Order: sequence, then C-alpha cells, then structure tokens
Amino acid sequence: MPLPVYDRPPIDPAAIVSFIEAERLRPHGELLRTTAPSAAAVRYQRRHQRTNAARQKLSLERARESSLRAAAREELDRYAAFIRGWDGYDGDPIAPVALKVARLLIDALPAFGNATRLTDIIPGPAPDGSLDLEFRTASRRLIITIYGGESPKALEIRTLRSHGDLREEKSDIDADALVEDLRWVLA
Amino acid sequence: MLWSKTFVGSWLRRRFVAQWCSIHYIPDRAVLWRAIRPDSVYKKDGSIKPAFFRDRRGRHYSCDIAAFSTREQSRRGYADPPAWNRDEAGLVEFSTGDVRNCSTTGGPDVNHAPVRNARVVNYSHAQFSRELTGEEEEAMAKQNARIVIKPSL
Repeated sequence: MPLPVYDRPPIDPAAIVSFIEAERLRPHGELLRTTAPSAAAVRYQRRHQRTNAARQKLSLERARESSLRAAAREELDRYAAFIRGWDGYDGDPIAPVALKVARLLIDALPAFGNATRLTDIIPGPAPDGSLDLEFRTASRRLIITIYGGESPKALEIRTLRSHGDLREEKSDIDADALVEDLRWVLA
Repeated sequence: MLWSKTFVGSWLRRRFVAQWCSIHYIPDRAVLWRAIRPDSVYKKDGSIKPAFFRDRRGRHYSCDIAAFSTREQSRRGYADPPAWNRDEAGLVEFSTGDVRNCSTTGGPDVNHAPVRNARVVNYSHAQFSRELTGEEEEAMAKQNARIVIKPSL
C-alpha cells in the first residue's frame, strides 16, 4: 500500500482546538513562542518620505532665513547700547524708534514675499543716529535707511535699490512704497 | 610746502599746530583718516558699510588730516574719556581728492575744522562741506576708501 502524500503536516483538529485555547489563555505562550501579533494589534503607518529632497531643502532654507533674522536682531540689540561718541567722534546714539522699526521690518519679512530668497540681512549704524537695513538676494539688494527723531512722527525712510548696474534711490517714502520695495527685493 | 614730507614741511606743520592756525585749502593728495568700529564693516568680506560715511545732522562728516595726526591717535580717537572700546577700532584711509570726486557731478569739499574743548583737542579734525548722497556713500565705501587697520571683529 503506497504511503499517503501530504503537502502540509498532518494536523489533528483536536490539536488545533487545544492550541487555540492555550493561546487565548496565554497570548504570548509559555516561552514567548508566539511571534505573530493578532490582526487587531497591527496598525499600518504611512512610510516616511525620506527621499523628498525638495521638502528637506525648503526646511533648511527656512532655518537659514530664520537664523539670518536672529543674527540681525542681535546686531540691532548691540546698537541700542551705543552712547554719544560711539564712533570715536561725536556720533549720536542710534534712535530708539529707528531700532524699533528695523526690528518690526525684520520680524514681518515673511509677509512681504519669499523670505527664504534672502542671502543676507545686514544692519549698519551711521554717525548721525540713523540706521541702515540691507537686504540681499542672489541678484537684488535693497538698503533701507531709517532716520528717527525725538517723536515717532519724525521717522523718515529712504531706500536704495540695486539690481546689477541699475540703481534707484528714493527719499522720504511712505509705508506703501516701503512695502513695494520689500516685495521687489523678495520677488 | 606744508604738505611735503621734508624737514621743512614737518617744521611748518608743528608751527601750525602750535599757533592753532586754520588751513584754508586742503590739497587733493592730502590723506584723511577716520576710525572705524567693527559694526561698520561687513563681516563676510570686511568691506565698509555705506552707513559709515553718513552724517546728515548739519554738522557734516568728521575725519582727521593724516599729516597732522598719527595712525594710532586717529584709530583710538581724540575724545577723552572715550565713548567706545578703543582697542577694537580700526582705521579707514581716503584722500581729499577721493571725496571731491566721489560722484560724476562732484562730491563735497573737505574743510579744516580743528576742535578744542574740554573733552577733545584735535587739530587734525576736518569735515565734509555737505552730506553725501546714497550713491556717493556707496562710491566712497566701495571704491575710494580702504581699511588700513582692520577693526577686531
């Protein structure tokens, strides 16, 4: 009599039932032999998109832009400590209102366009108590000069745009013109 | 003769200082100095920021005539007591001709304006005759002036 051929091990149904009962009582088995978790315990998670270089780059640019703004704010804080004669002659202290406006502009930069295009934000003190705020991108440069007086009304703003050899200087500009210039440099 | 580097020139300059004489004309070749703080230079390349050349208060921009000063004295400033950290200061050099020719329409003149008061005694002090425009500030900072002693950053 030929031997029976099995494509799987012969399992006694009673043995299966007892195995299941044992699993119910001791889910992890006596020697932690059970490695397959039950279907209810499995939660599928979306795979991390590690190869999305664009998103990673954007994040780096934001971090760099944020770092530029922090460095500029730090430099402005240093200017606030200047006293008369800070330049070795009779330089005026930097006007508090000019410092305040400069800080506001730096904080509000992302609202004017793609601030990640900036390659540099450079403040510069002047002996007459005014303040320069220079924004640079790969091809454009905007210098905002802020004069502060005794009162906020004495505030005066000038801008100098540079794009290659083209230059445009504007004096005593209003808020709309300033916003336009900021949008221009971040465009 | 006053501007020559000969013994006679040196003697004449000493006489001018002693008698506190006013100099009516400063020639184009006369070298001017001004101290510079670390905040007035770009950190990346060490070049001068245009704001360094701005003074629109009506008192106009100050500098020292090199022939009547020394590098160290101009770098550290004449004010006593100083209002800044003298040790971190540098020195910028440009000529009177550079100032007069800093724009195509002609830059300001440079006038001798010696200072003698309780806090400052500076015979070499000079001033620009008018304020510079934005473009003139740029031209001075980028093309005409050079840093001879770097400020400590």
